[in-house]
Amino acid sequence: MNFKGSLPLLILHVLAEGPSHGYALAAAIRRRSDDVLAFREGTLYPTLHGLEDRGLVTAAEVSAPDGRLRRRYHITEAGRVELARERAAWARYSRAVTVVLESPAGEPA
Amino acid sequence: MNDRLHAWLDIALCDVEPARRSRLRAELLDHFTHAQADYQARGLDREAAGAAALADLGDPQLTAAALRQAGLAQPPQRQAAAVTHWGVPAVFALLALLAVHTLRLPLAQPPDAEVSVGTGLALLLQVASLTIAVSLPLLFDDLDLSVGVVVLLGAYLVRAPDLTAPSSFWLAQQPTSLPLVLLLTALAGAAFGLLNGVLIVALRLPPVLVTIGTGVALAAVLLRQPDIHLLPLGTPERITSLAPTLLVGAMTIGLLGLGSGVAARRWRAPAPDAGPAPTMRERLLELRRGALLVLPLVLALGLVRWTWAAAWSLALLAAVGAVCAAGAAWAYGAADTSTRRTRVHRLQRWMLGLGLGVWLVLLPIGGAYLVNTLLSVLLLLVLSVLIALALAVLLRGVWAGRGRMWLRLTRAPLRAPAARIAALVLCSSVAAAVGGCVGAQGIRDGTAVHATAFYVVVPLAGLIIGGQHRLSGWRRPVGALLGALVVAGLTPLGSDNLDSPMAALLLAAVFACAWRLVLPPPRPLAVADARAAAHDEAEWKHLLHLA
Repeated sequence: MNFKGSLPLLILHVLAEGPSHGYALAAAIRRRSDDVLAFREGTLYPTLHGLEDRGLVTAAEVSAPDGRLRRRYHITEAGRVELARERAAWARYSRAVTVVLESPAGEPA
Repeated sequence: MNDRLHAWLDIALCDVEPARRSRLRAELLDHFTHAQADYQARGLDREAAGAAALADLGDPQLTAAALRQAGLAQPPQRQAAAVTHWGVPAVFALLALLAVHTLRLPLAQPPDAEVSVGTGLALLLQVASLTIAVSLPLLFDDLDLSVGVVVLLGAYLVRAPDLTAPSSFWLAQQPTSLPLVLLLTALAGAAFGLLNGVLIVALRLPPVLVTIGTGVALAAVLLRQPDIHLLPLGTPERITSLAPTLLVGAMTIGLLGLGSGVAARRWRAPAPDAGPAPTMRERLLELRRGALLVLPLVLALGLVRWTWAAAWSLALLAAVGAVCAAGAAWAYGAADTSTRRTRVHRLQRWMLGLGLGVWLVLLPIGGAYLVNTLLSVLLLLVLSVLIALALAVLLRGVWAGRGRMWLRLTRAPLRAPAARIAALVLCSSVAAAVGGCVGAQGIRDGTAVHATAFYVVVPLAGLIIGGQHRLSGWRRPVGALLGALVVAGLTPLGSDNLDSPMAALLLAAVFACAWRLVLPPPRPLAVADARAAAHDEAEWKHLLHLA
């Protein structure tokens, strides 16, 4: 897992707090990470649609005030289960990276 | 701004099925609107806010890749397969129409010098069948340069039964046997294509050299036949000067260069680093590249036919070539990649305008040159305007990233050996059958049609070849040249000298081999992923800015 692979995790986490649409999701991730996790926003929607196809989120189409069709994403029960699993995987991964980084450098592999 | 956004969306969503595409489109538009509003709230003006919001979306190709990875978009290979499935029946349908049309004409009809609606239809069908046939092997990056000779073979085979008595046509006495003869002709073409396919795919020989070789071998056999000159494929009286021919040739090169440029942009290979400003020596090298692109054609045509009538045409061609070369040198002389690209694009736009303009003027003039009746001239005029419009729409579409599926499908070449061989077989088979139809018609209705065919076939084939072949980067000029060669291979249809395309092919083949020896290797490509990605992004930002 790396940052790119963690995008589903971040999306599910934000959605677990409440339904949201694409732009708000991207803005939330960006803002909370102090712009560190500024991904290319064009790749957000492929990820979202992939999650939808896996049944982890559902989308409700509502019409925005300006008449545009807007898709609002909700997390499903399966999504919450997946979120817990992904979160654990991420914790394990980041712990492993930390352990490696904290070990003395220059040691033969 | 809107154009840029829509171009972005078209590229990002190109492989997605329509229903999902419209949903994603709406979402991304919504996203963009919000992002733009946010940036405006932070004090940017509308235009800058739009640019910033678009930049945040990233490279559209990344989104397209992410969609494919998530299984939400069909990879291009499968699209290509679908289009191949579509293209093959289309070829056969066109061919069937052509055959029906050929069979329908009464055999006793006296020679007809006028271009009627019927002959115009036949012409269109010939062109359509041939161009689709030629483009089939191109789906697999295989260029078939022997097509022109195979057309000649078809025409010859249809006329072969009357070898013993040139004044009476066996076919004319046995009109009902034409379907059988056409079928046999197509089979002969298929056998020839199979030979090409086996040499190319099984023995892994380069397609260009193989098809030049087999084409020249076949031509050598055909041209030795004592009655080959009886074929209704040349009209010396009607094409009295090479001038229009050369003009079309020069224009075709322009269109090819344009097409390949557009193609290279759409299916862009990793671009070389901009690096420091090129030295004078490098600029001279670029100039030489441009000159070398034109030189062999001028030489070939000059060697084949050096007459006073042709002299000014050669001068014209040389001038066009010099302008192209100077333009290329100027464009490549820019210090950084982005300026260079701007210039190349500007150059391509000029060439597009010039090519379309000249063509629009040339076709009616060429038609009027061949036929006298007002009706025919009007017909040709309407035809040329329609075709030119279609080309313009097509190119505009490619330009804005809205190329249709069949124009984009060569991004990921198919490598299935059987399919490659099948494409080559089909190409030769169709070419032979078209040649057969031309030959059969020639028995009856004179040759005006086939001279006209030249005016239509060359630019159209040039465009399709230029737009479809997959060479890019430093090979781009070579690709354009190869496209021109395919067109040269088609010229037995309209040439009054059957040897000329052969000479051009041979010379250009030598040239193509020498190319690698003369010119330095391409600059090393950026290999580091991150670096390439950063470069891509900068490039895209720039391209979108241009669009």
